[in-house]
Amino acid sequence: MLKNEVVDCEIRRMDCEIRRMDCEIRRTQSMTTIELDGVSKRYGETTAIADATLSIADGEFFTLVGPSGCGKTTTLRLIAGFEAPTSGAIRFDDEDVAGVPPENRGVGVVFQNYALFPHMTVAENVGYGLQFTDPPGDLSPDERVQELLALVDLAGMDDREPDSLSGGQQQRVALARALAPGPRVLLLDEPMSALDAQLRESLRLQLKRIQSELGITTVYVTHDQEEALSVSDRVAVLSGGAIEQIGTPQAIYRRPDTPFVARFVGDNNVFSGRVTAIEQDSETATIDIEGASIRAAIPADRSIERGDAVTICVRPEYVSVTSGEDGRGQKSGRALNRLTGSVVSSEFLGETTRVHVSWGETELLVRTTDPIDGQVTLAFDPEVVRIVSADRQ
Amino acid sequence: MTGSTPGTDSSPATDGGADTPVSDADTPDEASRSTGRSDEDSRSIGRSDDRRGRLVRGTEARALQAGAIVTAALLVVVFFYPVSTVFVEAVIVDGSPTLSAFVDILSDRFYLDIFAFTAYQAALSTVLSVAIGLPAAWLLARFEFPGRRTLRSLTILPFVLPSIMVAVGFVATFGANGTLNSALAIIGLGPVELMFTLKAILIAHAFYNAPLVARIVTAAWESVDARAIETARSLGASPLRATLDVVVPQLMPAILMGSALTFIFTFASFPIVLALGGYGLATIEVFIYRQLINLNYTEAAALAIIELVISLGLLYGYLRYEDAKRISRRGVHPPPRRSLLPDRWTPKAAMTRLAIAGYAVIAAFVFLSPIVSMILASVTASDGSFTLAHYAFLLERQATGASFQVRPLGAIRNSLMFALGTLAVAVPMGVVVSVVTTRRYRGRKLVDAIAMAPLAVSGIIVGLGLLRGLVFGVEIAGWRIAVGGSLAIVAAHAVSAYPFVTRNVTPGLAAIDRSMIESARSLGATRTRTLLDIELPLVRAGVVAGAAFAVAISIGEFNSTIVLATGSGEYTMPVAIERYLGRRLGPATAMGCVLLVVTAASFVVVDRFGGDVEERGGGL
Repeated sequence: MLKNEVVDCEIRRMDCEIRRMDCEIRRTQSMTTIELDGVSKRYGETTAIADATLSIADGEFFTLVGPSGCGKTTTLRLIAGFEAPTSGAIRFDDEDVAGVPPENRGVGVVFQNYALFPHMTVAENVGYGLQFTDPPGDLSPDERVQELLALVDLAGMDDREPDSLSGGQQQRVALARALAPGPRVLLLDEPMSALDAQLRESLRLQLKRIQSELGITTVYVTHDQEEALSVSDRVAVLSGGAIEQIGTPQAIYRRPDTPFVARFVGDNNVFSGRVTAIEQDSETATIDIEGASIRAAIPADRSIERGDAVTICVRPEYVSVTSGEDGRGQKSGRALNRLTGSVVSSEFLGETTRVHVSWGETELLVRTTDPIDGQVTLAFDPEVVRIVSADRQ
Repeated sequence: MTGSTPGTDSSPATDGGADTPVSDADTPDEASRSTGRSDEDSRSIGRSDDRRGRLVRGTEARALQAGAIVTAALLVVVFFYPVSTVFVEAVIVDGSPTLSAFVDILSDRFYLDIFAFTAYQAALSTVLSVAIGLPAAWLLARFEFPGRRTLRSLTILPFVLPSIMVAVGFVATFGANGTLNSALAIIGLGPVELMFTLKAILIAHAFYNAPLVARIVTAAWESVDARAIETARSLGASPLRATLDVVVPQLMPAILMGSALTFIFTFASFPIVLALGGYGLATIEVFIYRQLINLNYTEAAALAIIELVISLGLLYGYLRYEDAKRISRRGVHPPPRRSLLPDRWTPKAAMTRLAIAGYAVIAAFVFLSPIVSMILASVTASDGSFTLAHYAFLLERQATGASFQVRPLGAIRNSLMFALGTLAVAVPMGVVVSVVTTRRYRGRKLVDAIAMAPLAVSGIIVGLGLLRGLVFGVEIAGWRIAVGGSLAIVAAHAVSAYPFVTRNVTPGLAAIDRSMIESARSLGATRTRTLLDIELPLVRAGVVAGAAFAVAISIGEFNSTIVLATGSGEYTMPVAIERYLGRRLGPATAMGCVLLVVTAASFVVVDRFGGDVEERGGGL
């Protein structure tokens, strides 16, 4: 599994490389990286974001994800220049943008409610920014508007009033408007959250396609972790004004670094326990949870000792489920973790079934392809048990 | 749901100074210093690379500050400074500070009687206005009939009708040869003597304020949720009980608001009492005016301060109350309206309709008779025959015996010129104040309060201050500065008119989604450009309504104009009406009709574009 990941990553990296080269040729705007260096924003007593440090590569699709109040929108607004940080520096291409007003930052912003100008037509909306900036290339403003409308599949909608458009169409007008002046950075503040699920999915694909076609550095804010995983090159998970983890969607999903990330991203089983033994190879720890012993791989970047209080997580899909208590028919040979429990409830989702299995005082969430009932045996590899926090006594 | 929705993630930003830190650095120098990347292309941070573009940008960025500074300076020159000179005059007599004027007034039985009468007539006016306004609110809120909507919008008409015109209407109704006595004579009754009585003043005040009460209470009544009444009924309450327990408590704040406003307005009533009260009845305001024409400035100023303190106290109390009892109107399902003609004539239905008919007669008397009487009187000769002589008189160029010093045509011309002048000054001022007070920064409430101060200060004081300060001239560092009476009148009108522009524009500006402004800025528009391209077009209707208000207020302004006119010889229609009123009713009514036409036109504009001024703006 880890091997797969490495290959995955390699392919992705090459992919990126190819795309980047591709973009170099096609792109009209300059390379743009964004860097936040110890950025904090306080409003009186409340701290919206504390000491955020991150850097976004040129052409990257970077997503800020977290529950409401986590500071993701504030971070976006700081990048856009609508707010000034209380401390810390924001740099575009290694150049501090403190004091540069939003109109001079070269940012294209799409808001959740689209914020189309209701007193202007679609074409006037898209062309608004071209009064202040010459269109990229040798295009006239009108040609640029047409180009953008075609890009978002709204050709011929020029003279429509924004209010006469559907939500999805309005969203695409807002995107076209933000892109028209050829911004260095595209900032998207929950642009999908007012749309229904199906539309959201198709727009997500379209957005991703346009973004990689233009190779524009993009910061995307969402509370929807699924959305974050599906579109991003990298994701920053925020909670309570602090960055919990930054990584590729795969890394965030497979190797959460904190209990919060483990719980927030995807379905997960999260337990607290105590380390009772460290195996001789120092690669596996035995952890007492609910009276059962669970073996877990020790991450390379963590030192674990006997007696540590730890939090671990196991993804439901990594757990194999078999009927009966003895786990008959299960592959053996490796030192798998084995638990027995009984099915409490199951939700049939089509592709899979989510099954809640009672285990001691708690419950475990697992996935099966077929509905299952009664006594079950659960088995999972120590490799898939992720230690997300450890406290020394 | 989460994240970007206002009030969750980004709610702290709402209180933070979003614009200030950024626009502070909005100077060309700073922008170029921090964005001086001329290598790659001009679409990078420093979008405005050429010098001219930067210059334009710099000017644009400063336009708002410039507007704010000009507005503030204008307010100081034509309002705060003149008003403060009046106050200084009250406490400095013969060069030394003294409170003797106040002591004299407050210990003088004669003045205390005037205070008492002022409060007394205001209280009675309030009772009468509520008594007439409440049934109207009930009709408007609970019944459906043809013309209901029109009637509802007509409740805003008194806001723009000049009070001196209404006074003329009532003189034409109640006077010795007025329509009331003529009508009574036909049916063999009367004559009744109402002129120069308290009753006439009260009825005229009700004409003004009952519609205000009706408007506020109707809005509250329409916001009563039918489901709350139905819940009460399902829990066992009788219809009457449900009304008492559910409806009445929800109407009380509105009734109290209407009453408080009526009391405040009538406490400071001037032209109506001046015209209908004769020499016997005088409010503080009328007495200030009398002291003025007798050149007793110290006493007038002291009286004005006392009146102002009382008015501000009342206003403060009212605003505190209004803050605590804000009526919310969201997702309301009002109970269905009843038809004015019932499906079945039960005794109860018949009684109700009879009561409504009775009310309609009273309402017609209060609201229609002054207008109708004025129109009739304007086309009636002294022998009772039809004539247009009064209108012909308005066109006379020469001062004749009848017009004394006031030339009618000059007054009409002045009124229109001053209205244009007011429009030109008050609309930009009002819009700037709106913009400044809808921004978020520390001390915004204070700025708001200071900017609305002209609403609280009587026009007489403003007029007096302008007259003594600017018209008679002030000496500053050896330079004598004096402005003409016309300019002073325009200034006074603008001061009383711009708060109405602000009140019409502010709700719209405040309601504009911030992300729309931010979108424009991220697309390259400066703050000022955003204001011109996005915000102002979106509140255009409010600006138009505010402009119509400004015209109506300028045309009808009486309090400061009569003070300034007395000193400068520049007359307007309302002043001319007052001058004619004591001598010849005909020309006064004819001019009143001209005023009616002009202000009714303003009303049509306000109604079309503005509508719910006092609901959105909070009652004048």
